[in-house]
Amino acid sequence: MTSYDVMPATELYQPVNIEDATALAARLGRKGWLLGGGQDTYGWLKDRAKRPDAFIDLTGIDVLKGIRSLPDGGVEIGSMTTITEVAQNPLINEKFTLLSAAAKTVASPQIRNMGTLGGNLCQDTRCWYYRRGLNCYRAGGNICYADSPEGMNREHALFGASRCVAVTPSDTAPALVALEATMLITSASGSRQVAAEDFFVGPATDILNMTALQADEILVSVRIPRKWADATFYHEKVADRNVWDFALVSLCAAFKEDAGQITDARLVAGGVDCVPHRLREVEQAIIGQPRNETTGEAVKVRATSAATTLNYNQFKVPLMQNLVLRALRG
Amino acid sequence: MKVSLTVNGSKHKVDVPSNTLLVDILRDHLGLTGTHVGCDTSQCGACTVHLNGSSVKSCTILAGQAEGVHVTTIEGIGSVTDLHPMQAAFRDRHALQCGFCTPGMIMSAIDLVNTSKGLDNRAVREGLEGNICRCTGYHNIVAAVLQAAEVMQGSSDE
Amino acid sequence: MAEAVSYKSIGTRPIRPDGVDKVTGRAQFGADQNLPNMLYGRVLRSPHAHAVIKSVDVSAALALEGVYAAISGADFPGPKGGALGGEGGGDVSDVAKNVMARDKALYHGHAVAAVAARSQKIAEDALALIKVEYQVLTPVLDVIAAMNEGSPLLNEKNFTKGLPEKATQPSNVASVMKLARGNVDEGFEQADVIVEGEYTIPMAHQGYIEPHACTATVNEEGKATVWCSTQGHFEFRAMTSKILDMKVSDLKFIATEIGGGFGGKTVVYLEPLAIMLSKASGRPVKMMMTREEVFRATGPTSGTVCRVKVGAKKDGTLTAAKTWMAYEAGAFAGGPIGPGAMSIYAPYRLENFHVEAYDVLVNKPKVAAYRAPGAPQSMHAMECAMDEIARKLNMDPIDLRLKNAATEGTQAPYGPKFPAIGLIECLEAAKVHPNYTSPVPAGAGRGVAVGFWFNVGMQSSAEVRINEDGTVTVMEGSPDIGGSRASMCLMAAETLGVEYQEVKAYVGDTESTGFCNVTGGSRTTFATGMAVVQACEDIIAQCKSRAAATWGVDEDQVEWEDGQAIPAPGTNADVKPLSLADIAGNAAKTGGPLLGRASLNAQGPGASFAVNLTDLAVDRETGKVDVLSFTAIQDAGTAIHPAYVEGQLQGGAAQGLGWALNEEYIYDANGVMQNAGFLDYRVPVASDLPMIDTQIIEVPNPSHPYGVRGVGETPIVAPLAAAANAIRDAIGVRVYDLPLSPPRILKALEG
Repeated sequence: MTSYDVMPATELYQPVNIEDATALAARLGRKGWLLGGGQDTYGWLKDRAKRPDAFIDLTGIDVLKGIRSLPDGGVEIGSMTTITEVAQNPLINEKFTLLSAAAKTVASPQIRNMGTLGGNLCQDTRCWYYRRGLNCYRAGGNICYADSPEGMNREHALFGASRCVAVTPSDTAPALVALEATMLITSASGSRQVAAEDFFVGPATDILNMTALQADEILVSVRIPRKWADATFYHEKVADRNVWDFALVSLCAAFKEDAGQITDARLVAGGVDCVPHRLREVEQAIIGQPRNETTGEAVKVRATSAATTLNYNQFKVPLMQNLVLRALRG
Repeated sequence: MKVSLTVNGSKHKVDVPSNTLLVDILRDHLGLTGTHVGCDTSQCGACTVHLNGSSVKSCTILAGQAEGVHVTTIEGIGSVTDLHPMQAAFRDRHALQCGFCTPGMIMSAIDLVNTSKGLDNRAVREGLEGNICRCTGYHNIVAAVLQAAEVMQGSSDE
Repeated sequence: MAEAVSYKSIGTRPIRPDGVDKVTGRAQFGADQNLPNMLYGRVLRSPHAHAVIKSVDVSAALALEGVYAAISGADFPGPKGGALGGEGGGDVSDVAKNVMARDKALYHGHAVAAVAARSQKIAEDALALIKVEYQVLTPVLDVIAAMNEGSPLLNEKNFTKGLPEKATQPSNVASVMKLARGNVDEGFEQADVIVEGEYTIPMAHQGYIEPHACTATVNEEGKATVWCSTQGHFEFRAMTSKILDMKVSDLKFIATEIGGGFGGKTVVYLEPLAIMLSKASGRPVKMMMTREEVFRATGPTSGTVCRVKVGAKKDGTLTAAKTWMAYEAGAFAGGPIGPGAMSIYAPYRLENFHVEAYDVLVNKPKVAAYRAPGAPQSMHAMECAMDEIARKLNMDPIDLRLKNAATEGTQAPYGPKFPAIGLIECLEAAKVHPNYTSPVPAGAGRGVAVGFWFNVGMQSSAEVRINEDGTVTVMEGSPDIGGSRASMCLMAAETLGVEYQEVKAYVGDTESTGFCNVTGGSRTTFATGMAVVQACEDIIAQCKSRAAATWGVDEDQVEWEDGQAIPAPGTNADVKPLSLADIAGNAAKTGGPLLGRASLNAQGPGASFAVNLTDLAVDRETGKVDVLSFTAIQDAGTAIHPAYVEGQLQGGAAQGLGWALNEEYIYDANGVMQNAGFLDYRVPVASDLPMIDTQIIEVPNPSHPYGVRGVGETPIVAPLAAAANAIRDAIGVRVYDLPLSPPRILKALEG
């Protein structure tokens, strides 16, 4: 083995407007690497597990940065906005604390200062077999090392596995799915909007990519509609340490209540599926119920009714159930 | 590629390959070896510097991304005869044993104090989450940061 | 109890001599040395955990533009044998093969070749051009399975040492150690309660933040100079001399500032390679490990399986203990079974005991010393068993330990009788500590455990020079990893009777100061400190002689008090006292410069005992553990610099808690470590820990002029069991396997 710490030769393009960036993305395709804060990027390159020809550094494009309110009362966040800004922004802290709470649990302060929301949403999975550069399904091969009799898979998926059992690592993605955000995507050939829930894709859809972004596309911004502003939120991330680790399981929940009853709810778990995992069964079961311990106890098993455990991740089943219980306990 | 950046108040132009990381410019080109590399994967925090005042890990920033910015390293915050209050507190409170994590720890702590109010034990610990110290158990580090915060915030309020 | 002595300098908390350098970034560490025309060396490592190396061809790498040298195992002289110094077990010939594999690669990451090139990038590119032909073998990864007769063998020539009869078949068991006294079976018959358990502890890394680094240059005459991050440059020199078959006098080692070691920087990895590459290229060569290399190829400590059985009477008196332990040695012999076996029962008076420990070869990196090597693993099992006994007897866990505590005169399980020791004092202090008398917080559990380390003495040298203005220069050879230069200055100031500020201590290179063993074994303040004190006494004797000559009186009519020579009471001489500065300033006229020296092989290091208390909150729904409080109480003999003693207690607590709660080497079925980075190898960060309360107990060590006991290693021993016992208290279930991470706690709670 060779342990590298030198970056391989890689071109660096630093466009200052979207048009140049999309032109580069169109030209380079998968040979180009869209660069945000780079906090998860360089490890891939140093390890030679990914070998792009060039970086397209998006952090110099001003329109991709910043947080602004939308006419409908929602919020738009540029993809190159740092995680620190997302965590501290007054608009988000006022209306969508679910997202700021999730952003505050991303990595460590220095990484939040450099890392961007777009980068956090588009980062690749943490599966250590895949990251080591092994030729697994996700890398284009025909084996999954994690889902084997000897596989070390305490961090892997309970749901949505299809050949690959990797999970989404993003802390902010479940919050955005819960808030029914929309992703604004652009390319040289036009723009489109994709619901957050559809932006993240599982291995059954595309085993090589974790988002719906095409090779020539750039994530411009995330729009959070007013709908869940001022709802009651619950966020919890359980990891090995208090900080910095990726989630073993996280839960983002939003509740609307009226007269002591839940009238609408979105519950989305991280760390259990290749995509932010919506707990639809739970959502349906709690409508019309009070948000309390009894309801939580009654519905928590629905969170995992479709779970398929691996050798070392059974603990995620009670953990998910307990987080649902805590979300409903309030 | 040519990169222009200001380091500790001095302007520098360096001609480096586009894959060069900021830490390599600081250590190898400018001889600022107070910025340490403990992991090269943005985890240990020993390479923490300020980019326009904000703490970042210099092992995980391309030189090209530092174009035009102000970089401050441990060498740029105080001198032997005029220590920054955070440096003085680390020295006085025995907040180091081997001293390898110290520059990064000090740079993170300064950013933390500059951007926070009413710091307490818990807040300091959370603010230093990106820096590993393997020697001290963090006890004296937290005490030093709280001491420096009093000095720094006391003087800025005046 | 020894009577309290009052000191002027000792026991104060001055700022360390290297404090300013370390807060300003001026301190030079292992990777900070640069020389003109310097090359960068890199290592090619085995991608297999177990393989025969059939051939290594470096020619294509050498042909690459910018590559100046390439070496492999064939370029090394046949390794010379010899026991390793310091605390690391094993033999130098094994270190030679660990530094560069010869016929076999024995772990994933084992060095098989190295290159030196103009840039790191070219060096890395060159590694890819080296052709190595392997015959891949089945890796041996499980310590128990490795002991089975049918297991594949790492070393066909390994015959188990320590058996009653000479082994006739090769095995993966490198050696066996047994200690026994009394009759264990009878002891268990006398017991009213017996507890048994099998405890496992994973392989763990020292986790120093500075990766290994060195720069070497070899001149035309073949003399090598090496700057490196080391806990013992003299022992690095000795090992390198044997590995490269060079004269000791042809090697000069300069210890840079060291960014943590904890035992892991007591053996060479890069230094012999850098010298070889420099020799071959005719240029200086710098080598730095990546963090990944540090994890895969340096220093972890053994993972262990420990089966313990302990019996006690109703009143708590221990009647017997029996333990079986297997330690992972890694790829070469040298797991710390000796200290593991010798420490396990050390805190207790035990009539009947038996312990057997096995040092087992597995295809993992060769273990290196890690803070109290071997003791955390064995004593974790014993201290958990003690907790279970206390529960069965419904007895206070401190009372149970007080009932059985070793004291002065107790025969230690490993042979000698303890001189004055501080275990009972630590236990009594714990019993009344506010963190013990306060109620346990709701949802939390409280754990108690005892820690112990032998401490060592070994060889040290020191030289004390009095400069012409009376200031003092101390030269010694123990790399300073935790503030020892300040402690040397304090002891010198105390002995000479001068102010701390007048004394500066330096760690000399191997040519400018006398031999010192490694900074390890908690020996530096004790042994090198003793040498410094003796060198100061040498100075005092010389000063008295000079004063006598100046005054025209006999030497025995001169006394030394408060840093000056004074006439002894009753001496009939009308003279003014002569200060150190007076005598030094006049030295030319009285016989030349003042130079004091001492060298010694220090005896009587004095064991250090500790008691740790911790309150841990366990979230039963998530498995998360929060450390609410941690209290380390330890006997330091005499605390020379109390702040640095406290620092050792706090740092050891953090490392012990990390090991207890999160740290572990995780291997896949092919013997590849999965978590070779600080993200997945989880050492504690600031928010994982509370303030760590410390209490220093001082039962002076009779063998040291100021009563010093080593303090550096004991602090890591007790936190493992203290944490495990607290979790047991909190959740009502004993978890036998570390680390006690959320998945494991959840699993235990699920039953």
